Amino acid sequence: MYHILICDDEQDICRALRIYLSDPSYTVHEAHTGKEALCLLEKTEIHLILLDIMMPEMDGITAMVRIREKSNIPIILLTAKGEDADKILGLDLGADDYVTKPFNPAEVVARVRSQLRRYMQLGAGRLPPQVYEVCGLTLDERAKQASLDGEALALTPTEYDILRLLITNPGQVFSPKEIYRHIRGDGFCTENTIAVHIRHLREKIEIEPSSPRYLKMVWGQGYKIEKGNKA
Amino acid sequence: MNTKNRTPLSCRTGVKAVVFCLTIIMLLLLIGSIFLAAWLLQAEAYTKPEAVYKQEILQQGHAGSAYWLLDGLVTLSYHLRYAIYIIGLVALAALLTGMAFLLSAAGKRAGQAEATPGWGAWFPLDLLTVCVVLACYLLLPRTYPYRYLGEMAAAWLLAGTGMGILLLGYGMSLSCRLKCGKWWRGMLVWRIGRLLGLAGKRLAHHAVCLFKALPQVWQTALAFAGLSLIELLVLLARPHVVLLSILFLLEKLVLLAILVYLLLSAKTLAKGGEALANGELTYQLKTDRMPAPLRQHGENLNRICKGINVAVEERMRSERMKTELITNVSHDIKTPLTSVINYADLIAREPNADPKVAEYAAVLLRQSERLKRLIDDLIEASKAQAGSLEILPAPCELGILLTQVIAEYEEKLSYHALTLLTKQPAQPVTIMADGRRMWRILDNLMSNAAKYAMPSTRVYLSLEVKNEHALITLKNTSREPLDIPPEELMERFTRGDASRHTEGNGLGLAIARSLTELQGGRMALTTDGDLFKVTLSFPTAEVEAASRNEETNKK
Repeated sequence: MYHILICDDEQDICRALRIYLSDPSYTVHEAHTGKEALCLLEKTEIHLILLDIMMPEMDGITAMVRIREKSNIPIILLTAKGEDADKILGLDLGADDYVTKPFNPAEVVARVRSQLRRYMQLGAGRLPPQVYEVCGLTLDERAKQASLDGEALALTPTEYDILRLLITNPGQVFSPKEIYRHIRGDGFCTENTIAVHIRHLREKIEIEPSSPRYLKMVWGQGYKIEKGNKA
Repeated sequence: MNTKNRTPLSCRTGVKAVVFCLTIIMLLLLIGSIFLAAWLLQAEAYTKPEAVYKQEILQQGHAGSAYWLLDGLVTLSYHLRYAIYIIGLVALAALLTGMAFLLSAAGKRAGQAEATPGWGAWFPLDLLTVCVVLACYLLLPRTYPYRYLGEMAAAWLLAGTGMGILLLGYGMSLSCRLKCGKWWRGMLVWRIGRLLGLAGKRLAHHAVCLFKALPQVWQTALAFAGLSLIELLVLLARPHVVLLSILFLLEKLVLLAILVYLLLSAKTLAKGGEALANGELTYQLKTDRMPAPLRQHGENLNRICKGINVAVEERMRSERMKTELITNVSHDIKTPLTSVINYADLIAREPNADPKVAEYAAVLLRQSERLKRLIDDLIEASKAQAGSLEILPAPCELGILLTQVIAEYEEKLSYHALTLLTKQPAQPVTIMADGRRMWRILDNLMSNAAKYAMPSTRVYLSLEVKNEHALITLKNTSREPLDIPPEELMERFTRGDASRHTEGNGLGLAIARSLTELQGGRMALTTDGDLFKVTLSFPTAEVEAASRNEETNKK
C-alpha cells in the first residue's frame, strides 16, 4: 500500500488527482498548503508527494527544501510555471520529477507509478558490473536488456545499440553521424534513419515523448542522456 | 572712586587748547629772546654802560610820538641783558614741554580708550604736509638784508607765529593719525593709488572674460601670438648670449610642461572613452586636474555614462516587469484551465454515462485542449515579441537540425498524405543560434505545412548556403486559396483559412518570425497562386566569427 500526498491549494485539482489515483494500492492524502503538508508528513508515513509550487503560507519549493532535510521520498512538482528555469530550479533543489499544468492525467499517473517503482524497488547500492543506470533507466550489458523502473523494454537491436552508446556516455552529445559511426552494425540503419530510430526509442522510453526526461534532444547538435540522479 | 572717574588732563580739549596757546607764546618768547640777545650783542650792551647804550640807540632811533615808550623799552632791554638767556632757556624748555604734552595728548578723547581721529583727519596727510611745507616756505622771512634788526625780529615773530601754529597743528594731527594707525590710508597718493589699482583689476578681469569668451581656437592663437611677440621683443632687446640661452631653456621647459599636461589630460579622456565603449558603465573620469576645454569633455563623458546607466536600469526594470506580468498571467490562466481539462476528461471517462453526455464531454475536452494550446502559443508569442525569451546562442549545425526535424514529422506528414522531399549540402552548415528556438521555428513551419497543405502533394524542405548566409526553404501547395498578401498572413491571428475553421490559432507564423529575428535571422514569405514558400536566412557561423574578429582588430 502506497501512501501518496497531494498538496495543492486548488481543491478541484486535488479532487481530480485523487480520482485519477484511485487505485487499490494507493491511499491518497490531501494538503492545501506547505505547512499542512509538513504536518501531515510528521504524522503519517508517505511514499510520494505531488507538490504544487504556488501555494499560500508556504510555497512548494520551500516545503520541498524542508522535506528534503529529513526524507528522501520522491517528490513530483506540479507547476503552471513551465519555464526551463523553473524546472531546473525545482530539480536542483530536490524534486524527482515535474508535471506542468494543465497536465495530461495519464501522464501524471504514469509518472507516479514510475517514481514509486524506482523508490521502492531500485535501492541504492553498488551496481553489478556491466549494468548502467540513469534515474531508473537500466541497461544490462550482459543480458542485453534495457528496463525502465524495473519493467523491461522491448527494443530493436539498433535502438538498444543507440541506447547503450548514450547511457554509457552520460552527458555527452552525439550527432547522428557519430552515432552511426559507432553502431554501424546491422545494415538496417543508415545515417538518415538514426533520427527516426531515436524517435522510436524515445516513444518507448519516455512517458511524454515530446518533453523527454532521459533521451534529450540537443537541436542542431545531436542527442544525449543526462548524467546524474535526477530526471 | 572719584579719582578714577576723573578724566585725565590729556583728554580734555580745553586743556589742550590752553597748552597750545601757551606753547605758541613760548615760541614767540624764544624767538624774541634770541633776537633781543642778538641785538644786545650787536649793540655791545655788555661792554657799555647803560647811559651810553641808551644814547646810541635813541640817536639812531626813530623820531616819533612814542619816545617815552621807546625809552622804557631800551631801559628794559638793558636791564634784561643777562636775564634774557635764562628767559630764553626757560621758554625753550616750556616750549618743548608744551610740544611734548600736545603731541602725546593728540587724539585722546574723554571716555575713549583708543585714540580717535581729530577734526582734521579727513584731510589727506600728504596734501597736508605739502600745504604746511608750502605755507612755511612762504611765511619764511626773505633773506634780503633788513636794515634793522628790529625789522627782522618783527618778520621772524610774525613768521614764527604762523609757522608755529601750522607746525604744531601739523604735529598734533600727525601724532593723532599715527596713534590711530594706518596713517597712510588718508593720503591722497594712497587713495589715488587704490583707485587705480581697482580700476586696473577691473580692466584685467574684463580682459580675461573677453579672452575666455573667445572660441578656443582664437584663444590658443592669441596666446601663441602673445608668446611669439614676447620672444621677438626679447630677441630685439639683444640680451647677453648666456641670458638668452637661459631664457630659451626656461621657455622650452614651460612649453614642455604645458604640452605634457595637455597630453595627460587627453590620455585620461581617451581612457574614459574606451571604458565607456567597452561597456564599463561605472567608470567616472577625474576631471579636476584638466584644462577647461578638456574638462568639459570629461564631464560630458561622465554624464553620458550616468545617462546610459539610468537608461539601462530603466530598461531592465521594464523588462523584469514585463516578464513578471507574462508569468503571472499565464499561471493564473493555466490553473483553472487545468481543472476544466481534468473534469472534462473525467466526464468523458465515465463508463455509464448517457451517450449525449459523453459527446458533450468530448466537445469540452477538445475545446479545452485547443484553449490550452492557444494560451501556450499566446504566451510564447508575447514573450518572443517582447524579446524576453532567453536566447543562448551556440553552434547549431543545420544539417543535423533538419534531420532531427524530419524524423519528428515524417509520420505526421504521411498521415496527411504529404510527401517530404529534402535537399541539403554534404558539408556541415553551422549558425550561431539557440537550438530550442530553432526547433520551435521549424516545428511551427512544419506543423503549418501538415495542417494547411493540400493532401497528396509534395512538401519541399531544403538547406543551402548563399552569400555567407544559410537559407532554409519550405515550400508546399496550399489547400485553401491564398488571397491574403504574405505580410498579412504573418500577422498574429491571421490564418490562411479565413473562416478559422481548422485547428490552429494563427500564431504559428508570428512566433516563428519573432524567434527568427531574435536570433539575428530573417524570415521571408512569398505566395504564388497556391504555392506557399517560407525562407529563413541566418548568417553562417564563419561570418559571425569573422565580424567579431573585425571588431576586436579595430580596437
